[in-house]
Amino acid sequence: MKNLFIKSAALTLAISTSLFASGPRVTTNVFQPLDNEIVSLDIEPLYSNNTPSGGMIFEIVKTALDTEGEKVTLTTYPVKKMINYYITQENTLAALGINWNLSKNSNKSIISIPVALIRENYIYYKPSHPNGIPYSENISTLKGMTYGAHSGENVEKYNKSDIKVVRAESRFLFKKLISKKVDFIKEPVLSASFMINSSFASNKDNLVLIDSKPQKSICSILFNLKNKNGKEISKKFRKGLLHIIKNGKYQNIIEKYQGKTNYTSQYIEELKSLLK
Amino acid sequence: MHLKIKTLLLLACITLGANDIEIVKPETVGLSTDRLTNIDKLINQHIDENKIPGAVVLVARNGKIAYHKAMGAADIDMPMKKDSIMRIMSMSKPITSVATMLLYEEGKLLLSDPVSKYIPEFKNQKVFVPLPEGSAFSYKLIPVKREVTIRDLLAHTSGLMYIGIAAGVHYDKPGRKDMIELYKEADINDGYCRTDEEIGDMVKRLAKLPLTTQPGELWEYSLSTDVLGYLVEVVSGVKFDKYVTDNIFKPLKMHDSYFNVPKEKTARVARVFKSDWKGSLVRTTDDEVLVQGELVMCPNDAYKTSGTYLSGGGGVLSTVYDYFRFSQMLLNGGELDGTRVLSRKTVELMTATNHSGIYNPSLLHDAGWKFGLGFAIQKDRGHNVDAGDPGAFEWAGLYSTRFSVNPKEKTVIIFMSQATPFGHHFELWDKLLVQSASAIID
Repeated sequence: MKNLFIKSAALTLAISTSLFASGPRVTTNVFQPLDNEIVSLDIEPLYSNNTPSGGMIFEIVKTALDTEGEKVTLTTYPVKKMINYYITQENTLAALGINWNLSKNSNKSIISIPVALIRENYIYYKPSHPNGIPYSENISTLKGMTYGAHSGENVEKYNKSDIKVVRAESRFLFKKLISKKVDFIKEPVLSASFMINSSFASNKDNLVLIDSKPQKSICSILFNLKNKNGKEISKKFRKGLLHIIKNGKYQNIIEKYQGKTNYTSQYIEELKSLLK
Repeated sequence: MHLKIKTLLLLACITLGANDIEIVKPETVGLSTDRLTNIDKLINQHIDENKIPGAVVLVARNGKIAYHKAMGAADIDMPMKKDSIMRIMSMSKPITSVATMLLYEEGKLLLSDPVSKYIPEFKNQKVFVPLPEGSAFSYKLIPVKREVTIRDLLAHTSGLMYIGIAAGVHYDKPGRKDMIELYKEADINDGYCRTDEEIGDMVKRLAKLPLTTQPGELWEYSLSTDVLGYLVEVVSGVKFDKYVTDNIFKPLKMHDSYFNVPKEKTARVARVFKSDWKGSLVRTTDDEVLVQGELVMCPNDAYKTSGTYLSGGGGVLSTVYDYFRFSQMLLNGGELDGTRVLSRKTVELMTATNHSGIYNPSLLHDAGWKFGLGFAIQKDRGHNVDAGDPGAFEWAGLYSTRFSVNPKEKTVIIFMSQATPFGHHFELWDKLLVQSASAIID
């Protein structure tokens, strides 16, 4: 009996070893869905697979969930449509980003929680507007111009001011700016400089950030209720986020990426009120 | 006396220019001088009819150049010269493929390796599956059955695509419109306009997009070779242009081949002309962006002396003579003038005809042609191609450049013009192949 057991074990081992040895090098076992996967666009240094920490926003999410004993991974994609696909058509745990504009039907299976307020500036292209663009406080001073908006962005105020709107992703918005197809765009302060340096370095001096009246957007995490853990982890996230805001870890992460600013505390207070 | 001859030979080698390239009497390599002269007539006729601005043609046999002529113009008031520098576009692909095979020979990679082993973004790829009209979402993404391998990239069976080709050839296929939009939204370009970014930046975004088909299943001409260029950087640890220069251009003495032409040679770069093949030949302007369907090209980026976007699929500028040296190396089974670049076995592997997935024969000239690891190979004569022999391999470049290597007849034929659009010169090329073959007299 014992011998039979040993023989069976040996045979099993031999078969599996042999399969392993002669099996295809390119197997499908590396394609298992990732547990607790969060998807986002790749916007350095907010959320990115090129940044070891995953970027500022992902680090906040990861730290908040760590405190609740949940581990998450980040997968980035270059196109917003793919993010929308993963969060509405598949069981991906969550998506990170700004400017969500999902259908009512999709929103039913989503729990949205704000993660951070992001400071944004308008940017114009100097060769198109050598004297600058006449923006100070009121967007209506830019009447007749063309604004490059992100997909999903609410553009009501531009429409009301007779500003033409063209939509695209950040990289294309910069290209449209340089090719003079749009007059101005809006980008997070933190990521704009990364993108300009990495992809538009030869135009660095011509891409001008307008400092007056910066805008702000809410960066949110959308938890997918189709994911079996979506609801539970969303609760843990909200709890963990409030916890790291309280213990100062949240502010530390923000300052690690953008240094000390005179608006960080204010933005954190606003976030706290949004989380109530 | 001997010393004097040696010194003279040395000087000749050092100062070897386009006019110093040795041209043998065609009869010494089994070619007819009279018959080769027909090529003059063929090319000049096309120049006289304002179909092409000019061209450089080379015919070599048994390793010797029997015909090497420049005709017409390289630009306004600038005659085409034998050493005119041309955008060879997709004729860069065989060079990039050879660079990859060098690393393969060094044991630094296997063709069966998943690309993700070197470029992690290629992990967990999905395949695009269009859904019927009226579906809540227009497509779904399914996991790949196996990962994309380096062999898939070399053989163009990776599931990647070119926007221009996808739009021009595959546009009616379900879901292609969506795929083209995804590529465009991700700022993927076909590599014909230089950007400020590095090739790796684009490749990393490309890897995150869905594949059009399961890896290995369909031959589709694509950005695969651009991925290979980045792969060479990752595996070798040096920039792609430096790797190619150090390991291919320098050993083969391709002294006029570059990704970025040095300033002192930009005056030799021939201008691209737009031709309707009916007599209208229009010079491209300095900043001109050519848009043909979804194909977007910036021909005069070639005059820029620096650039970070090193396209393995189309970024090389070269001369007919340099490309002859590259082609002759392949014909010789991997060596030229005593310098071995590849082994004979590797060249045999590259020119084998069993790599293709399902493919559209019209993209490979015709049925009976197969794609090896970097170029097309004539498999038999049972098709509508006039010249050549089984085993002959060739490829082309978007601004009307071509090369053909025929191992059976030991010939290398190269034609380079700088005219767009691409499709017009096919008949001219076929006739050139016929005339070259007809000149064989042994």
